[in-house]
Amino acid sequence: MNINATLFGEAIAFALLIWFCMHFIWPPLLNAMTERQQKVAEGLEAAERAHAELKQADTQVADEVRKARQQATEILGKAQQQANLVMEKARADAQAEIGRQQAGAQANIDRMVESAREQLRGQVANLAMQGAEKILQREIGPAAHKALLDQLVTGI
Amino acid sequence: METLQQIIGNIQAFTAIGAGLMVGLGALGACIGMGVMGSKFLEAAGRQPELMPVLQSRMFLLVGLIDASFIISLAIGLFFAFSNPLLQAVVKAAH
Amino acid sequence: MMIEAPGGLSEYINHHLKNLTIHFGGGSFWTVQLDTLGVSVVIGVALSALLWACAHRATSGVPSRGQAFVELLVEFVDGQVKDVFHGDTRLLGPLALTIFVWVLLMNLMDVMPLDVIPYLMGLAGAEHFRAVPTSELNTTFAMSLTVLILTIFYSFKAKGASGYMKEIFTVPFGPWLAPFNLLMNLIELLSKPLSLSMRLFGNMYAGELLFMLIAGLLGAGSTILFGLGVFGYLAWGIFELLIIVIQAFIFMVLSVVYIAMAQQHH
Repeated sequence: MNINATLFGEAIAFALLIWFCMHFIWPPLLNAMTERQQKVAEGLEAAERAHAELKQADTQVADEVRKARQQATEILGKAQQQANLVMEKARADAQAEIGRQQAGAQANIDRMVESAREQLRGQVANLAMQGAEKILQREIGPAAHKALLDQLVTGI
Repeated sequence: METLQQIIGNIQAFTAIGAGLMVGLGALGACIGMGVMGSKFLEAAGRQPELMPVLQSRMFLLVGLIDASFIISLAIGLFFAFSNPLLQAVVKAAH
Repeated sequence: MMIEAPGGLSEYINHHLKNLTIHFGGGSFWTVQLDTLGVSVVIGVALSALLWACAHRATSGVPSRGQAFVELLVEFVDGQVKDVFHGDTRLLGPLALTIFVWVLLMNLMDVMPLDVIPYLMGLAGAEHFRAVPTSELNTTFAMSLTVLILTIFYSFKAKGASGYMKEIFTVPFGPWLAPFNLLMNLIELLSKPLSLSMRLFGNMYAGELLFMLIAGLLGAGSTILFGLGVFGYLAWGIFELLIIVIQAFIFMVLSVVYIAMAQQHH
C-alpha cells in the first residue's frame, strides 16, 4: 500500500492498452457495426419502398379496371344508341318505301281504272256507233227501239 | 514511566476504537444514503415505469458512488486493524 | 485452501498483503511489484489478443458468436460514452472500453479462490503474491493519473493554452481572486483522479480483506465456524461480483465524464 515504481509500469501498460484498443480493436468493430446498421437501414427502406410500390400498383390496377369498365359501359351505351338509330332509320326508310310503294300502286290502280274507263268509253262510243248503224240499217220501231236501248244500257 | 507494553496497548486500543468508528459511522451514512436513494428510485419507478431502465443504470452508478466512500473507510479501518503502521513504527523504534 | 500461517489470522492476513517485489536500489520508491504488474500485464495481453481475434475478422454480415459478444460490449460502452459526450469519440470510446474490460477482469481476480494463486506461485518460488492488481494503489493511481493527463491534454486542446489559463485563474470567482481560483481549480483537478483511484482501490482492498477475514473462520477449527465461513464466503463472493461490475462501470463512466467536462467551456 505504498506508491512505488510499479506506478510507471502500470501507467505505461495502460497507455499501451488504450493505444492498441484505439488502433486495432475499436475501428474495425465500429466500422462493421455501422456498416451493418447501414445495411439493415437500407434493407428496411427497400422493403418499405417495395411495399409502397406494391400498394401504388394495386391502386393503379384498380383504377385501370374501373376505367376499362366505365369505357365498356360507355361503348355499350353508344352501340345501343347506334343500334337504336339504325333501327329507327330503317323503320323510317321502310315506312317511306311503303308510302312510296303504296302511292305508286294507287297511281297505277288509278291509271288502270282511268285507262279502263277510257277503253270503256271508247267501246261505248263504238257500241253506240254500231247501235246507231244497226238502227239506221233496220229502221226500227219504238218497241224495237226500246229493246235496243235496253240492250245498250246493259251493255254499258 | 510507561512501558513498551503500555504504549502498544494504548495504540491498539485507540486503533480499535478508531477502526470501529470508521467502519460503523461509514456504514451508518452509506445505509442512510442508500435507503434514501432506493426509496426515491422505487417512487420514481412507480410513478413512471417506462423510465425504469434509465433510472436503474443511474441508480447502480450511484450505488457504487455512495458505497465507495464507506468502503474506502472500511478498507482503511481494516488496514489499521490488521497491519497498523503506527504500531509497527513503535515496534521498530523499540528494537 | 487455507495455509496455516504460524502467527494466526493476523499473520495470515499480513502474509497475504505482502507483494512480490524487486528492488532497484536507491530508496523504497524504486521498487517494482512483480505480482501486480505481472498479473495486470498478463490480463491486458490476454484481453487484447481476445478482442483482436474478434475484431480483425469483424464482418458487417452475420457476426460470429464471439464477434456478437464483443459488439455487444462495444455498443454498451459506446452508448455510455455518447450519453455523456457529444463529439469525437475516437479516443474516448477505446479508452472507456479498455478501462471497463481491463478493470473488470483485474477485479475478477478478487473472486478467485484466495489461496490458489499464491499457493501455485509459492510452488514456483514466490514468497508473497497478491493476485488482485486493482487492490493495489499503484494500479488504480496509474490509471487515474493517465486519465488526469488526458484531461489536461484535452483541456488544452479544446480551449487553447490561453483559454485554459484564463479559466484556471478566473473561474469561479472572477479575476480579482486569481490565487484563490487557482487553488480551487488545482484542488478540483487533483481531487478527481484521487477519488477515482481511491474508490476502486478501497473497494477491492476491502473486498480482499473481507475474503481473508472470512477465510480466517474456515481455519478456526470449529465445525460451526467452518460452515459459517463457507456461507459467508459464498454470500460475500456474490455481493463482491456486483461490486466488481459496478466499480468497473463507475471507473469507466467517471473517466469519460472527467475528460468530457474538460472539453466544455465554462
